[in-house]
Amino acid sequence: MYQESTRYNAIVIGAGMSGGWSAKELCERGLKTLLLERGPDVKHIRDYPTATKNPWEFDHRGEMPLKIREENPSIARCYAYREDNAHFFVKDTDHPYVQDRPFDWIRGYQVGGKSLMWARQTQRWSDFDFEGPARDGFAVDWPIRYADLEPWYTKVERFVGISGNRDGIDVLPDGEFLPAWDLNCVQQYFQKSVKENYRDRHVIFGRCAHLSDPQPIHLEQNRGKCLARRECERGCPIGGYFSANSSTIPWAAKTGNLTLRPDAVVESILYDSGSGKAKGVRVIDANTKQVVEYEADLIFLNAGAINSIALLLNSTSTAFPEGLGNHNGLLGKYVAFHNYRGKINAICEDFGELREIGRKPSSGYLPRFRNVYKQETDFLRGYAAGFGASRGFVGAPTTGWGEQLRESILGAKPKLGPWRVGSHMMGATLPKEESYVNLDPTKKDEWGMPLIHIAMDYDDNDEKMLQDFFDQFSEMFERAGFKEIKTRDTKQAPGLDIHEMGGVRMGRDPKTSLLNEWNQLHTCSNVIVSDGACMTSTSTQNPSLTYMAIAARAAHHAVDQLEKGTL
Amino acid sequence: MNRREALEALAIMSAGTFFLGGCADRPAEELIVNGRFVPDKRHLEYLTKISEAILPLHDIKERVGEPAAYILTMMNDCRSTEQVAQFVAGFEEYKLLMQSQYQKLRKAAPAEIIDLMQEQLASAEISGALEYFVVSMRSLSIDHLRSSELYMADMHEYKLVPDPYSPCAPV
Ligand SMILES: Cc1cc2nc3c(=O)[nH]c(=O)nc-3n(C[C@H](O)[C@H](O)[C@H](O)COP(=O)(O)OP(=O)(O)OC[C@H]3O[C@@H](n4cnc5c(N)ncnc54)[C@H](O)[C@@H]3O)c2cc1C
Repeated sequence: MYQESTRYNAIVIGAGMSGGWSAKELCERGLKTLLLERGPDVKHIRDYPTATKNPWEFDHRGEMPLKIREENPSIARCYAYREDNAHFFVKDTDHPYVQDRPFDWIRGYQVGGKSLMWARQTQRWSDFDFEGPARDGFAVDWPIRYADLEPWYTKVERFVGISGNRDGIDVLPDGEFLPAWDLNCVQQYFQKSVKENYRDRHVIFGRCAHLSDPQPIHLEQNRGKCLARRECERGCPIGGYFSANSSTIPWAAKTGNLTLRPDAVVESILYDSGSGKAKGVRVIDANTKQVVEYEADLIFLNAGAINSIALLLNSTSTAFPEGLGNHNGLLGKYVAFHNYRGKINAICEDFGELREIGRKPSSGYLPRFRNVYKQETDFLRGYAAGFGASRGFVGAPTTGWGEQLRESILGAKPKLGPWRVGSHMMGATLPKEESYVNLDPTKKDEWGMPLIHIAMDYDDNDEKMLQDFFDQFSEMFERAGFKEIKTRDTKQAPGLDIHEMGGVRMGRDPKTSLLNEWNQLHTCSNVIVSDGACMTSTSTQNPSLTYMAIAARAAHHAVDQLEKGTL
Repeated sequence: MNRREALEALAIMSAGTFFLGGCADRPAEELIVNGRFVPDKRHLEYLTKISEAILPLHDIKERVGEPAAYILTMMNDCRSTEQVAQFVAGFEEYKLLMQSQYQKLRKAAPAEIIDLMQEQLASAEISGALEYFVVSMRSLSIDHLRSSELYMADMHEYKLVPDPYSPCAPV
């Protein structure tokens, strides 16, 4: 009978965006690696059931059934949760959690994690971000700087394939880019208007993980040129955008060193007090509930920030009664997210003679301009923003009944409406001690694990920043001559930004942080946490590129140490 | 005859026809199962007939699909059980009014179907259920056409694989 091996060189927990990178790097370095994923397998192409469907082929033509929306209020509030990709989203009902204050937790439990569902925006951080906490006196100082991560950004970008321009902006370092898509005429116009009116503000093409011009490394991954279908969240059969499923996981598998084990819920990391190291993990089969233990020299935690925190909290031992690595009581604290509450919309009355043909996978992006070189407002840090401009077809009003009604719909081809423009804010929030994730003392999930308890909220800094976004963008829109400018506070709960970070933060001092500069737990050095949980602060940029760079860097360092015998 | 009188008269008439058996419609309310409307063949035909009177598809039906199936799916899956009940009550009321004011729905002409709807919408006495039924039938019939291949591809130029990107093309 086939006996599954239970001993590996390395174990990676979580087969999503960051776990895919850990697995790829470890396998390439020759380590026999077990990649554990709590959800089912999603094979590239084979398991994208809706990828080639037209909108009219869906039963509800895109609308989510009421019962599903009512039973799953959190995911139902997510812009991306739709009939065509609902199967990739974790239902609130399937995996409940406790909300101290409203928190809409958006998850993807499957091989690929949320890398299947993401919006693929990929901006580097700069030292304005890494030096932020030290400069502004919040959280703790990051133990790394841009220079530490720069080669890893480059490595990740080359492999992933990022389309963008070399914009030469201090706050948003340039990278290894494939050609960008052009901004449309109204976006270009706004770009010019902003440039003329503001010295330090820029409108650029939002860098994105799409193959505009696949290079040999991408073809080797069997990925092809992005057709800009913009049906990405269904899974892309061409591999036009980056997902762990199309890229890192099959790449790791090709080395022959990867064992992928889906449906494997990691319950805890096992600590060996003799060696002072982790010796393995305890896994519950998602379906049979059978428990099995695996051993390894290195354990990589890439379960997604909140789940990684929970897993450490659930890994108790005599040495760590409050959770593995939690020697200072800070595990789960100082979590933060991005403030996406601000929206602004308007109409551009010009360019009526022009239109956009086809689609592009990204949009305009305004990097942070507030409080960059000096503190200039009554709030700390700042925000970035997207900038979209589009004009759709507007049908004539549906009038009458019978033939008259039919004529009003089909009689004349719909006309192009005005250009509608809009921006949404992406604000940094400050990690605080009172923002935390912990385990519910009594409630358990289907696998007997404590329910996760989440407590995060906006604060005064966020409210002031929101107002500033409205003021500044109203001014920029007015200067551009846009009309009917309307601002809107969506009042959305934290979570819908889907950028939860922190809780196992990096830092220089073991007294005030949990991970060192290589993402190793200060007090259990063979456990490496290299997903969003490690983030000391949040910045404004979409974080996944940084997670991937951190994961790759941490994996290499761990293998180096293992090879030197220092781990 | 005002609406209430018509309904009363009809209630008496239908009580009579009940004993004649066979050709009488089942009250639509009886076709609600677990909060969902599960029409029999006749009611399904009525839905099609009403929808096609509101928005005739005739020659394009092949590319647009069956409106009744769409209307039922959207009603049952995307509306609350209270709304389904209201829709069905309004449907029943509409059937009875049709019979009292024109003729049986089965035989009604498209113009009669529309006339009755318009009359009722204009009436101050219209019940909430009937109004909900008429408004829903009209809006769902429109949505059905507008979310069809014919409309999206031909009128809105939707393509799963779009044309090569041109950021500033002349209209
Ligand atoms: C709609 C949407 C849009 C987004 N847009 C962007 C964007 O434009 N740019 C950007 O940077 N980011 C974006 N994100 C966020 C991005 O997807 C995440 O930052 C990223 O996927 C996080 O990577 P991760 O590896 O930490 O977690 P995930 O990708 O979520 O992977 C974690 C994996 O761990 C598994 N797991 C969890 N617990 C356990 C356990 N106990 N045992 C075993 N396995 C476990 C999960 O099932 C999952 O597969 C978006 C996300 C969504 C949903």
